[in-house]
Amino acid sequence: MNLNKHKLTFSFIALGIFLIGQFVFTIKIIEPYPAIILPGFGKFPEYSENTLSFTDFELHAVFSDGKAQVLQKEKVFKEIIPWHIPSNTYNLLTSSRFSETGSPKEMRILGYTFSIQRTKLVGMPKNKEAEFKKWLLERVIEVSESNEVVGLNIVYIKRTVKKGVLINEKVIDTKTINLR
Amino acid sequence: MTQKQSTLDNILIRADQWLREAYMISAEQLGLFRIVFCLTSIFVLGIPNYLWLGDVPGYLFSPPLISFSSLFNGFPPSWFFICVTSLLWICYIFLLFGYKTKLVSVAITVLHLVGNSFVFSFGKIDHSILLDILPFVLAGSGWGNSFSIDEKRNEISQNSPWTVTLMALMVSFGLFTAGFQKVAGGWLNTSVSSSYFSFISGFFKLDRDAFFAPYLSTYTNAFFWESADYMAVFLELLFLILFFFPSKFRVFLILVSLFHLLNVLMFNISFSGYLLIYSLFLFWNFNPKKLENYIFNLLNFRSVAIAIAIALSYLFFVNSISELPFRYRPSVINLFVSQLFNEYQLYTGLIICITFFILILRQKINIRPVKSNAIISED
Repeated sequence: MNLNKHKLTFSFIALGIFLIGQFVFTIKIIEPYPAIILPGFGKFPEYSENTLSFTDFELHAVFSDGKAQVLQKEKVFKEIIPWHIPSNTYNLLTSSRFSETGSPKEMRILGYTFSIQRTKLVGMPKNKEAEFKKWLLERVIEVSESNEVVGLNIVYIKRTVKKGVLINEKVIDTKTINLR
Repeated sequence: MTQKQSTLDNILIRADQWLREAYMISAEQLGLFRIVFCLTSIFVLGIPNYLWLGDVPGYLFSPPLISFSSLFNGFPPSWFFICVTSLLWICYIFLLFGYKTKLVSVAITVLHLVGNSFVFSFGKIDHSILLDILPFVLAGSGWGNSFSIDEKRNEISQNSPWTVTLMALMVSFGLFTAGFQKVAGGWLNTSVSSSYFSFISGFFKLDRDAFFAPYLSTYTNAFFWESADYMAVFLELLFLILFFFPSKFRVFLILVSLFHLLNVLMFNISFSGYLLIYSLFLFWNFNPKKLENYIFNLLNFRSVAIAIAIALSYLFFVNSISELPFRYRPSVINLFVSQLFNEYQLYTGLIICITFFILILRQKINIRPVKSNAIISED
């Protein structure tokens, strides 16, 4: 068999194997960029007695007197594409940033255990953290229109819907970033 | 040569021939597709603008682990994004006029991938990949051989018709991955409709409440929503098989386009840029001679220079006013549509869907070859 003579067919076969490989890699380990993948939106919903629940989050400015004010997320992170804000906010809370809440996913490959972090969380030097907190404080003051801001709360809320009507909202977690 | 070898050789010869001819379209249609692709990108979908990344605090940098941006420890300086964005706009203008088509096609994809790897450095990857890789895949197709400056300068490259087959494979595989992930993620569970869940969470979390959405939010008919679940998965998975049957592939492209239109109207999600890609595989009904006269009057150095000057001035004007849709994907149409990003995407999506179906109904786009200007495929 002459490989050169049929290189087009063999190239397509090789490409097919590569496409399958990158897809398996994506669903089992991590999504590279670029990859020939379209979104599946395949999440199993939380469902009971004709109600659907999903988790959302809000950003609250915390003031020196202990009071809080809901902020418009798109205004706080106005540089970022709106649908990237949830992942961006989550990243702020993962291990190498403001708290220890995030942990990498553990995978077993060929008998070895690997810690897989979906994104590269760059270890930021302390002066960058201070610089960012200063930036965030200025932004929260601008959006809340108050100089009394001392922190930012990221409030996770479970919302429940029945027949298209919102019937319940429950705070399930709150993370605080101190800005002073 | 043994009989076994000879049979295998015959199969490979037929496979080679099939890959070259299955999705073959005329050089004129490829040239026209190049122009439509550029015009739609400039006027409707918008060419990405990466200048805003220069304003983002480095602390938010969290790129995909396997990506170009992962080689960096933070966002590059503003001049880097000015170069990437300006070059991208210049390349699109060159591609529109068909100047150094092969080179600029490759450059457009490379610039998209470099710029996007930084856009996706906030923990989420968007899936515009098929549109981004299209110029690279078609670089060798000969899409610069008609209605172009390259043609006028006799710099015609060799046609590789299999590149359209390659693009069809990418589309089929991409749709298959979407269907597979749905099945693997429990999309087809019968206790509750995943389509309805997706719809409701988008409705409440992302304010996707335009067109039919308010009426559907209270419509909980299980049969309707479960049918939507199965229909979506069936269509997406089927495409991997349909790739091997080009005529049926084209019929189902129309069905998927209808699916995209319903997505815009019901879910307020617009993947309508993909309709542009689908149109590549269909047969266009137009008069090449008439078009040639019209287009060749525009193909000269002065027109290209004016177009580049207008495009770059527009880009920097857009960046200076900093409204949402302008910042990310400035297009000419968003001057008139809306300042809100979601609405802008929705209305442009609807415009593309409606235009696509008008062209089909008026038989300007067909699922069968048009004798005058298309090469008949053998499937």
